[in-house]
Amino acid sequence: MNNKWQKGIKDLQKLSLSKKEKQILLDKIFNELPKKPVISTWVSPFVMFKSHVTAFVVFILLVAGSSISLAAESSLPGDILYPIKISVTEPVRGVIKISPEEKIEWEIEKAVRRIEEVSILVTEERLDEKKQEKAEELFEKHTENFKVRSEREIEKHKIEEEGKQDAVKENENDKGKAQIKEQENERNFERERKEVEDKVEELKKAKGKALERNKKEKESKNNPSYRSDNND
Amino acid sequence: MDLDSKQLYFKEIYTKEADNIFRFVFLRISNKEESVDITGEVFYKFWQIVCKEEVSTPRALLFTIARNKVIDWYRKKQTKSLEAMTEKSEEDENVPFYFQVEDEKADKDIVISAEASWVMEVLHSLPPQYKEVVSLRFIDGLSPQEIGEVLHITPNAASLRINHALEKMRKELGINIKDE
Repeated sequence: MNNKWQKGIKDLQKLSLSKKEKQILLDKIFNELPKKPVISTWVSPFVMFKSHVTAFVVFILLVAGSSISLAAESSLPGDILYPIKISVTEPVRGVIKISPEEKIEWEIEKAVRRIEEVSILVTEERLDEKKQEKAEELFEKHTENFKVRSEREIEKHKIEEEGKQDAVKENENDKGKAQIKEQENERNFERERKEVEDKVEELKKAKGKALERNKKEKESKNNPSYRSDNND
Repeated sequence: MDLDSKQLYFKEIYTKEADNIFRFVFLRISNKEESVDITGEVFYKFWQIVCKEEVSTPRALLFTIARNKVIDWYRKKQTKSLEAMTEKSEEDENVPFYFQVEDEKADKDIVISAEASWVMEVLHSLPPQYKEVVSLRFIDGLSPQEIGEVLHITPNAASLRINHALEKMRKELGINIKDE
């Protein structure tokens, strides 16, 4: 019985591929398979981070980053996050504004934001010389940017119009008409420039008001008689 | 390991183990042509793994892949026959295989000796869990450690199962074999 078993096992172990089959199979494997390890070049965002620690750190950075920029948006001069608002979130928001009109509007908005900040500081009685200087400096910068940008746009507009007029002239051969148009356009530019200047003026006035109010409050605070009255 | 040495390593293992894997598959699905195909698929998978990582127990890995491929083959066959039962028109549709070995000798039927078929009968009479360990131990010549890895059990459990099977064979069939 045992011998029968042994022989049976041996016979079964003789079962094998022929040499030719083996070689063909091997060739097939090497020909059909990529020579390089099969590693997908696409990395799933879920498996990008091999260790949980890096994934966690990145997650925390993302959450912290977004909440910091959100918090920075509502910060005021003198706050820790205020420099982030000025040098990070606002320029980033500016990048999103693509058309020149939007960019110009954004400059005005930034100037308005400075005024708002100052007025909030005034109401909270936290405004000091340093903060005020900083706000003024930034305000000047924004209005200057606004002026430069809008003038550049007007200039561009002018050149474009002139180009159009040249075409009109050539086509119609009507010099009189063109002249009238030119004058009209000039008037238009003049009006636009005035509007821009008016706006800057308005902003300056608004800022001045805020500062004045601040000064008054300061004076009333510093007034010793007022204080002594209060104390008695 | 760079690619060249990986290829060398792969070839070495292939020459050593191709017959064993073929035998393992053939004894389970009894179809020579398909066994050759599956053997190719097993080594294909093995090569992919070798490319990706260091393999410490290549034999156990190869038998594990082969075992899974055989299970897949049965599953495929089962669904196919179910489909055939419901839709007789698509009965003849062939399942495409990745490897097609063309060899004039390949079609020759494999004739096994009377003793060999008796051994197979004995194995088939055993309960499934014993059948598997005995064939892996005596026909494929795997160590209890390797068997443990293939069947996802501890080496001790594998040894124990082999001993139980041998005892059963001795008691019920009068076959007295020792596991050296």
